[in-house]
Amino acid sequence: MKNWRIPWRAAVWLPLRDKPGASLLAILGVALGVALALAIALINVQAVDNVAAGLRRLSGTADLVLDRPGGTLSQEWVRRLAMAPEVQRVAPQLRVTAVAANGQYLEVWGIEPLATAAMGQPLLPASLASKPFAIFDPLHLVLDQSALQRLHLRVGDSLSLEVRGVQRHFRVIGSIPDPTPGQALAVMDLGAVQWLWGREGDITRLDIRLQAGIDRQKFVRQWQDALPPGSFLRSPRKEGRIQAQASFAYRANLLVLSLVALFTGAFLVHTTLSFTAIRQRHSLAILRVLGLREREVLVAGQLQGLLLGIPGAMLGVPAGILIARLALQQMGGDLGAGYFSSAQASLAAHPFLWASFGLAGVAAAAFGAFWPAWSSRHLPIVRILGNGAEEDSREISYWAALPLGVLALAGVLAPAWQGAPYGSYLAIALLLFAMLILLPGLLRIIGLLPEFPGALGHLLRAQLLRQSGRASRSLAAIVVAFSLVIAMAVMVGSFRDSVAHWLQEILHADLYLEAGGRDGDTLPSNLPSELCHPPLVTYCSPLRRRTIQLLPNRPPVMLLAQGINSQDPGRTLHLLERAAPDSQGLPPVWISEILARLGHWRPGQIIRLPLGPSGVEVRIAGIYQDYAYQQGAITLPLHDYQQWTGDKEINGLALWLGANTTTGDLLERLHRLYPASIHWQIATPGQIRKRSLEIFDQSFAATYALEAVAILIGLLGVGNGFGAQTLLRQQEFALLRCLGLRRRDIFRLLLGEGLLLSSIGVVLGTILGLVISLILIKRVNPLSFHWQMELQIPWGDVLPLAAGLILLCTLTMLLAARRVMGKDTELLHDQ
Amino acid sequence: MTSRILVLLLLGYSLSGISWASTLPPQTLPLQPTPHVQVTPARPLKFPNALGSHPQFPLEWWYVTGHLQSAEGSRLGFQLTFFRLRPPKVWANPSAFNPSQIYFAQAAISDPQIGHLLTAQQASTGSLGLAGASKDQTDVWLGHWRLQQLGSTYLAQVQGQQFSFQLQLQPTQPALLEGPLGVSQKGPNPHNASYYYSIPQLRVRGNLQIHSRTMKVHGSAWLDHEWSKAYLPKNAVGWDWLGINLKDGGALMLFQMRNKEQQPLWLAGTWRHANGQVQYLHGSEIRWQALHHWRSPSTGIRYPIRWQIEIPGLRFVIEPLMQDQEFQAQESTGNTYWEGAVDIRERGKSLGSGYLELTGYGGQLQMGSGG
Repeated sequence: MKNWRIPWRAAVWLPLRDKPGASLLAILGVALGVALALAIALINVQAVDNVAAGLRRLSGTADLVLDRPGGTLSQEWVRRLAMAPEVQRVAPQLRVTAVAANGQYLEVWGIEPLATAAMGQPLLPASLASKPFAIFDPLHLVLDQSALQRLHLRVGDSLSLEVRGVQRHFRVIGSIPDPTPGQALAVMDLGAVQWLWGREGDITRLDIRLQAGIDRQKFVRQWQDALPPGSFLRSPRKEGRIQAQASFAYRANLLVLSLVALFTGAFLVHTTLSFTAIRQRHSLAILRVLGLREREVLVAGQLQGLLLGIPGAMLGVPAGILIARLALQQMGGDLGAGYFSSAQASLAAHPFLWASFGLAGVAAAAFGAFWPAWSSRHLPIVRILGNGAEEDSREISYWAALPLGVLALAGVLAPAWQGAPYGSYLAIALLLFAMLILLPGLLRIIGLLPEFPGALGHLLRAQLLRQSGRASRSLAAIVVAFSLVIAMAVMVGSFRDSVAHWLQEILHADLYLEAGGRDGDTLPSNLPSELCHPPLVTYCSPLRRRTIQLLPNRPPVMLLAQGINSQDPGRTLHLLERAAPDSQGLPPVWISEILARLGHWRPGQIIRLPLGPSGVEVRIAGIYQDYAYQQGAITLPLHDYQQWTGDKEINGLALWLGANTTTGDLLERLHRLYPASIHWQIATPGQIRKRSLEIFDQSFAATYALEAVAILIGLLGVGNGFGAQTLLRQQEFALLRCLGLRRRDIFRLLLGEGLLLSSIGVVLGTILGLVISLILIKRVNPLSFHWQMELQIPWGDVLPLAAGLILLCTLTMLLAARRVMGKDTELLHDQ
Repeated sequence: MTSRILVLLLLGYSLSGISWASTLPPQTLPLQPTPHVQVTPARPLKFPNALGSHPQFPLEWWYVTGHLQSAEGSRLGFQLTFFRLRPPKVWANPSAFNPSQIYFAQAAISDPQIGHLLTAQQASTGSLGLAGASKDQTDVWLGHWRLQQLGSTYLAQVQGQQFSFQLQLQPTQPALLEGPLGVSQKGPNPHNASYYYSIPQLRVRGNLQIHSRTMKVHGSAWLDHEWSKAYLPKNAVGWDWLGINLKDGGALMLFQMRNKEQQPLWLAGTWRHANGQVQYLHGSEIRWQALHHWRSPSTGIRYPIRWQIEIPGLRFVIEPLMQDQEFQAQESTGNTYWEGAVDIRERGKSLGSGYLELTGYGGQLQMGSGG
């Protein structure tokens, strides 16, 4: 790095300053890309941090947490673990639910107050220190802020709760900040909860603090096998990691998508600088004659990239922080995808991320600046100075696309790494590159089109054919952006279609009834016998739904015990695979496709379920399609479940109504029998489908926003490219005016060019998008979400999108060219 | 034998996670009857009943203090206290977590080389027997902490974050009743009283770990056991207490209850002379005079840590082993007090060693409000 003699003004600064609009747009493009990618990354990090930190805080100073997802533990384990010489302190909990007067379910945590305080868990208000016996009163409770707000209560008020069918009047003796953000929660004495809920002997969770110097791993190994089936002993940190992992694939995919915006931003810089480079050729050639060396030309190009990239990054980073903050406030840490229930997140400072994405923006701009500089580096000086040829004579060979294609194929075939299909994403990036290399060649298909009528038509065709390289530069950003939009649209459309189809297939009953969403929200156990009589109801199918821990280091999966015909399970489930008939007579279970992939389980395989005293051996009789439970689901006959566990609770009921019964009749009867039923969730299949698809759309809201920004950046690229191109063609237009063309004719010529180029860009984008959507559907989704879907091209969405984009694109081109058209007479004078 | 098998079976079942559907309590939750107890000379303290716990009484404590000497010759003080509280209301809740008794435990080490107390404390309900006290003999525990009578000796075991100890306490003298018939009156109203006996002049041997340093120790200690219903007089804010193992084999216990103005409102004491003769001292016979105050840098509370004391036939000065022996018990009883090892001197000559307890200097005591 010595002896750089780059004339700063002439080689770097002036070319950019001459076109302030284009330079500004390029900066804006980089800024948008950086802002978006950073915002997504920040939201990701924050969401995971908040979930994990929340769980850690909840555990106080505990080293380990013992729980049994979906089940209970005998309090005998509290004694055993507390007595172990390695254990310093334990804090047990029993978590139950109650129904408030307004029908809301309230989660109630029974705690041992002295143990909770010793463990430093944030579950008791400091105000109770002055009246230490108050919390021991079985009708006293502490509410968190969310509960106070939702129930419209203040400390000192009384609160009526329905506990196991009995109305009881509690007093609110204190309040705490939400231990889990957004969750309404009551905290009471554990002894009182066991008594009032009839759960003597049960606990659901035990926080454990070990003596100083005890090896945690060793302790876990020593105890894990002795613990009842389905229970887990793990550190609060690990618990947080497992929770966060549940949404890892979603977040990884979103991050990659946001990088696309940055990628499109790089193409925008590329477009801008390509035209700058062309305009600059004369001056560069003169500078070369004056002694500027080739590599100095390269460095000058890079400096131009930095000149656009640095302000872009500096704008983008604060904008990204702002977007992330707004998004977290509006949509929560999961961007509405429903992973962290109503978790509101606040944003912490992440200087490392800020710096990384700022640098990524600068790097993208430098990358965009590289090619134009490279191609103008060794241009024959004499030729440029001689005839001023503006069209590139040396395009990259189309053959360069071939290795990219081969690499892309390898990427598609590569397996997922840590749950995210990075190979497939690489393949998508490579395909985009290959498209850019092939773009000038592909534009020559115009030559295959029939002759356009008239002289103007002839002119148009000749122009486009001869200048395909220049046109491809204008189009690059929009082709990239649109292909991604199409890919996402096809993927989301296929997904939505599969979900809708699946919902159609599994919802057979006339009416579905549910108490609530959690394990503990149960219906009265006599409901089926009270309600299910002809002629009102012809058939009833009760459902017990609870979580169960099947896979270590994964979140619990959903267990669905329901009426299911072992001979004909296809009536209830959408089966994808069936096992061969069983000879051993083991009880059958069916697992969802997601669970099969997560557990690497096959039909016919024998697994052990942590149900009942010592677990049960069951045989996987089949694998079914399921879009409802992303952590996996397992279905088994209700009869078997009740026999194994003694658990007779039910959470849901599917009803088939009699021929002359309306839904209204049934609801009326239900409300007469159970006044509390107004708080239940009662829905027809139609309502469930509608709601499910609403949730589906909501979870893709963030994706749509990202696509919109990619399109915007693409359009900036088109505007910049076409504007620059028309500027370069000023002489040509002036000459055409000389030859008698009216201004209207020039306008028509540009309109024709714009329409034709936009159409070709959009068509190419669509084709590339379809290829990418295949990768998304066949590789990315199965690898990261374990979801299969059928390719369904939503033409109804794609065609209007394409038409709209062609119009927008053309409009942008004409707007960009408008300034040139106003100046043609002056130019003529000059000529 | 049969019942034992049945118990094992039940245990096995409850371990396997099956819970029986239990009947729900009625709308009005039933309370356990409040036991009628009273501290009165009409019912004198009796051994061996006195040795065990008295769960019917609202408040009870066991309290061991002593001076230790390590094999290398350094001097240390230690204390271990277990409190048992019966809440004013106890519900007839069959749950094992029913808070019918609450236990606190505090322990401290005074090491002049460290210059402040090393403390440890615990709190728990008596649920699942994780904390408890035997009714038959002295045996009280909280988690892994325990004070247990084994034959004639006592074992004291503490495991804290900064220190732990396992000490054997061997009585060399019979128990000392700290008031006629074992009733110690705490104020002008005879209603304010406790059952109270001490075992002074305990010979101590055992192990002490401070951080990761283990040492063999020996020394002498004092055990108090006291239970009551309403020991603190209404207008009392705290007390000063002193227990001394005299070099001649005698034992001296003195206390004064103080009112809001920090003036003594009740003084009493017990002096067992070397020959075994017990002398109960009355308020008019005792004079406490503060010689030096020390202000705690962490709480700002001012404690009188040097005293001159006069009783008939004896006049001596109390000198603390070190100044900062303040105990902040936020994690157990919630009080802040000064409790430390002291030496007793008469004109420079050592008469013996003991413990001085100064409570209520930072505000009214909370825990005693059970009475």
